[in-house]
Amino acid sequence: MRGTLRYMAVTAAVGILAGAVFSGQSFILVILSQIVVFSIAALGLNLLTGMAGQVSIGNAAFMSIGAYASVVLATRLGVPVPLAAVLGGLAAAVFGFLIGLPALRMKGFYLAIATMAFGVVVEQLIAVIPALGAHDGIRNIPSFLPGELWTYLFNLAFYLVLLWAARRVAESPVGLRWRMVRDGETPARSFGVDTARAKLSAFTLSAFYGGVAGSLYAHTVGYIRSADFGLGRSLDLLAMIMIGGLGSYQGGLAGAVIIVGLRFFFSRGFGPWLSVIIGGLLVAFTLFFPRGIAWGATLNWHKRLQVPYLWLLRKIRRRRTSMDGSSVVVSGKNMFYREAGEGRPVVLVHGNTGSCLWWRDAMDLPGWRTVAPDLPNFGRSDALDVADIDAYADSLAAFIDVLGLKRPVVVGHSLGGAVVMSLAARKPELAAGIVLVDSASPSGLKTPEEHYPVIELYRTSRDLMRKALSGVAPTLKDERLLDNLADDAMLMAPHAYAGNARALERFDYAGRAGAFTGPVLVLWGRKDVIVTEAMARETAAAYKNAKLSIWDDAGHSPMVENAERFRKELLDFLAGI
Amino acid sequence: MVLETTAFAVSYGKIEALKGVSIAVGDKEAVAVIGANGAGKSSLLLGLAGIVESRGAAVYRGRDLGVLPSHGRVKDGLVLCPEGRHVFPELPVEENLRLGAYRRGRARQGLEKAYELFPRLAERRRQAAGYLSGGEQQMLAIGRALMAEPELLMLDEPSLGLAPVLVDQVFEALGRLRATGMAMLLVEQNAVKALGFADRAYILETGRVVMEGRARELLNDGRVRSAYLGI
Amino acid sequence: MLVKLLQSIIFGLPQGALYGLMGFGLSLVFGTAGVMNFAHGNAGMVGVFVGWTVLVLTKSLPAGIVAGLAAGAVLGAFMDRVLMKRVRGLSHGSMLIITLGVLMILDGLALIVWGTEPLLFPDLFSGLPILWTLPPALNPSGMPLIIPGNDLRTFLAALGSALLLAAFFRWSKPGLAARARAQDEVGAKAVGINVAASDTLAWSVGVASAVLAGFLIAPKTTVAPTMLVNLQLYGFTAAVFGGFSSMMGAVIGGLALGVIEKLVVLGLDEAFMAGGVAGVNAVDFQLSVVLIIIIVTLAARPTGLFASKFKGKV
Ligand SMILES: Nc1ncnc2c1ncn2[C@@H]1O[C@H](COP(=O)(O)OP(=O)(O)OP(=O)(O)O)[C@@H](O)[C@H]1O
Ligand SMILES: [Mg+2]
Repeated sequence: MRGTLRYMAVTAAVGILAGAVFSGQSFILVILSQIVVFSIAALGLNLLTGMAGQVSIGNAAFMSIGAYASVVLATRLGVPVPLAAVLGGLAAAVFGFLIGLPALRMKGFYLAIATMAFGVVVEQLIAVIPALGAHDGIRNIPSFLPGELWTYLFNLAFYLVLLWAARRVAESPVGLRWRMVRDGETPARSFGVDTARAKLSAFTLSAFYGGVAGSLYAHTVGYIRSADFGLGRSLDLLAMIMIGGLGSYQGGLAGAVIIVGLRFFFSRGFGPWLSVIIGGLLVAFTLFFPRGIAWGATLNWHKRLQVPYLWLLRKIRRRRTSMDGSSVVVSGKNMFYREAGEGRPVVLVHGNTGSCLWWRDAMDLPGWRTVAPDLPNFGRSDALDVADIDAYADSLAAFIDVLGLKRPVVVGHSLGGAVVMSLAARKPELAAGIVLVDSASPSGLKTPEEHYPVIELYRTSRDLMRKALSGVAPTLKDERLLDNLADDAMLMAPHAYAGNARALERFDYAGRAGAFTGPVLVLWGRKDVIVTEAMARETAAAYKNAKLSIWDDAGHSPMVENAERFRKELLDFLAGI
Repeated sequence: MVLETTAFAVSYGKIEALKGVSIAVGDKEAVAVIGANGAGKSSLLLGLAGIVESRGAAVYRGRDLGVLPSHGRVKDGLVLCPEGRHVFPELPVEENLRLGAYRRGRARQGLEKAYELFPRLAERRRQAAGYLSGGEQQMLAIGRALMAEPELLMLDEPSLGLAPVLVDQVFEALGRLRATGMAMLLVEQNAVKALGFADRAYILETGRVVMEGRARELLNDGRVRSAYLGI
Repeated sequence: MLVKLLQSIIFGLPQGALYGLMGFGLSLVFGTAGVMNFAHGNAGMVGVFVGWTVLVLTKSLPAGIVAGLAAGAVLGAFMDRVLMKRVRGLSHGSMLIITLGVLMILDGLALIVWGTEPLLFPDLFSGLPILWTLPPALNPSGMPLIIPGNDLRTFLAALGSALLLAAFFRWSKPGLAARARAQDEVGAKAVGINVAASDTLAWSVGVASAVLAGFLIAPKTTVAPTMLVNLQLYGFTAAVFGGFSSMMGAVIGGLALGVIEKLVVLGLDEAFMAGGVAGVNAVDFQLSVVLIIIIVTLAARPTGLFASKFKGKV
């Protein structure tokens, strides 16, 4: 949702700016208006074709119905124009529902034929109704607002609202059902999805968007003919979503810019070429860029465009070592750490993409001295050449030694848990007790191969990283902390992104972890999406002297999700040592 | 030598199903290929038949198959009876069989032989193949492959879905064909049957040949017995 | 009344044969290569333009027709080899969108090369109309039935070629191979069918049949970029009737459609007259009615009226 809001803000800003720049040039404002209007129609088609997987080549007919309905309401019945536009959308939605009914039983090519037939029927029938101006159409349609600029801004506002709504719907259970239908009707049905209802709702909503777009078009251009909404228009819409990206909310706008722009560019004398070019774009995008422009733009955003910003972020953040932390040299490498309190030592080891910041709210343990390092490769500590659990554990042991911590209790979270396991198995005498928080299990953690490209994207995209972290700490409400955690995560050594996942894959202490016989606390949150209950149980079972504690309402990161309870539970455990 | 491959490999996108195997089938020889599910047995046969793309060399009767398309291979007598039957469901049984002789073979004699081998098919000759039972379709697929009068017959799990008595019949029929001098490359789940039938065998594991030898010897090999024969 | 009815049927059958020819081509490509070709009509249109050009250059009608059919065959082969080969294995949606793109490209190219002026095409056939008067007992008004001479020949040419081609694909060896290939590609390769060649054959014959339909209709519509757009819609309807995998079904469906269409116009005319509706012309509704028939048919039998049983696809 944040992404959508940001996108909407940018679109609104650019849109208003464009309006301001061209405020005197009504010709260009009409083009801009049309771009926005067709974006709405394309968005509607994308809900149906991109999301729900139902190819329609008759969606321009919904525009037609909306346009005519709205014009009749506004000019003959005196309905205010904005209301007429919405009613036009509803009229189209009714038709969408009606055409959706027979379409329920059709698939693929057959549905395409039926929607095409529907489009032509609407075009032909309107063209023979004298009351609607027959072939000549209707002229002199009043606009909503005086002047092209206001009309344009009004259209833009409609687009933004409808975009937001589309996103809401697409992310709701309804949208999920659409995607399930798209990806396979039979499996969807076996998951209990009422595929008929899902398709019907997609048709209806898609038609509503088309209808609204049609009415806006009518009041913007001031003149409609049924031939304006023929097969060619439907194909334009299809081209827009193919170019913009099938199933992408933003894509329709990019596609509309290109198609509407081309139409105006070629309007004088080059008409035939336009057909060739749009057709060519359809073929080319389907063959070579099936995910469209929007996807390319998104990928670039995550892969390249944030890089300068991240470079700066790393520079600034690394330097802020003053931040109540210190640095020591451990085996020739700087290691950053924070500490709090006095007493016997507790060492807190963060997880993958982590830093000592993850323990911020868990460090206040009365009677204990808590020390939280950034492992090498992470946060403000220096990088190693390798990403390896045993190497991290060796650094951790050396760190404990350099700071002179005597028989500390060592707490590890996630990947940190694996590090602690490795340490405790190889140097059992070093730790007085260990705590494993949603830790990798002794037999490691396998990352599916297809996730690696995504992990690589985290390296260059703070956005994705933040999103991933919010999934890792599902009940964390502190947005600022999340921002800071994401910033810290971006400090990780570049090779460690995929490297840590591989390291956890290699990690195997099954059968060896039990060498540590001291007290062990295994903590696990039921909402954890990375570590399963079976893995948590396996971890606990690996130790002779382990207690398993399961939290029902925490995810992968209990210490940031419910720090209060975490401290209490930790203190209880420490009291027994 | 009827067929000899070197470093023969098949990939599906990034998945390497067959990672370079070298096998050979001699004149009049029956060779079995056994291995666990997903070992790459079907990929081997599909690659040899030219139905999926392959790399490496495959020399069939002194000629490198190279990029020879599948129909060219059938024409030269390299015929596959694919796994999963792949009969033409809307066509009648007899039409299916006739199509077996599309590239080579004599339809009339072939039909007679096929019906003789599987009398069941003769009873159903006018029925659409899609209506046959799984086992009947398997018979049809084998019959169809024989229609082309193969010189090297490649069979992918011919016993799949057949009742034990029919499995025996099929192997008996294959035995008779072998007696006529037809070379065979046989993929089977039923390793005991396959090893009992073949002269030599290869064992595939995750896309590689891990063992080869005389079928009898493999049948008595302790490792093979425990891993593939479940004895 | 009876005369009007019979007259409608007589006018409807030649149209219907054209629909059947169009439907045949569509269901041929769909039933063998598995692609619903939305560019079918426009590909045929380009072939007709080529034929027209050759006709103008050589002044020979047969040369023009041969050239047009050949151009159609080449275009069909091109679409198969260059475009469809790449999308094999992709979704139906992708193939569909590609044919729609080709539809637009061909439309534009025809406009660029040949312009918008409608070009006249000579009648392929000529002949006097046949008049036939029913016995007075059946026909009190004494009005004769008219069977236009070239309509009759068009009818015979369209129906004859459609049936001939359908029979070819039904019974010949390549035809059998093409159908087998549609039913099981691996099986087809295993028996040695050259699948690529088979697809190309289907595409070539399919597009050439659209060119033929174009030639037959050109004397009426003139040669223009949009000449086959509506005929394609009718072709779809005919093929829908036929269940899309049965080519004979498409031909018969087309004939039925031609007659139904004329009867609908007749019925509407009577209704408008009886209802006193003025200012509307029943003919304006004929396409809409046909298209509504498509939708209803598809809704009732989603894979067509005579669809065969073993169709897992689409
Ligand atoms: N079309 C395909 N696309 C992607 N992967 C495939 C495809 N066909 C097979 N594979 C993969 O290739 C590997 C080998 O498959 P293959 O069918 O050759 O195995 P097999 O030995 O015949 O197994 P089985 O005994 O189950 O038939 C498997 O891992 C399989 O998942
Ligand atoms: Mg197999």
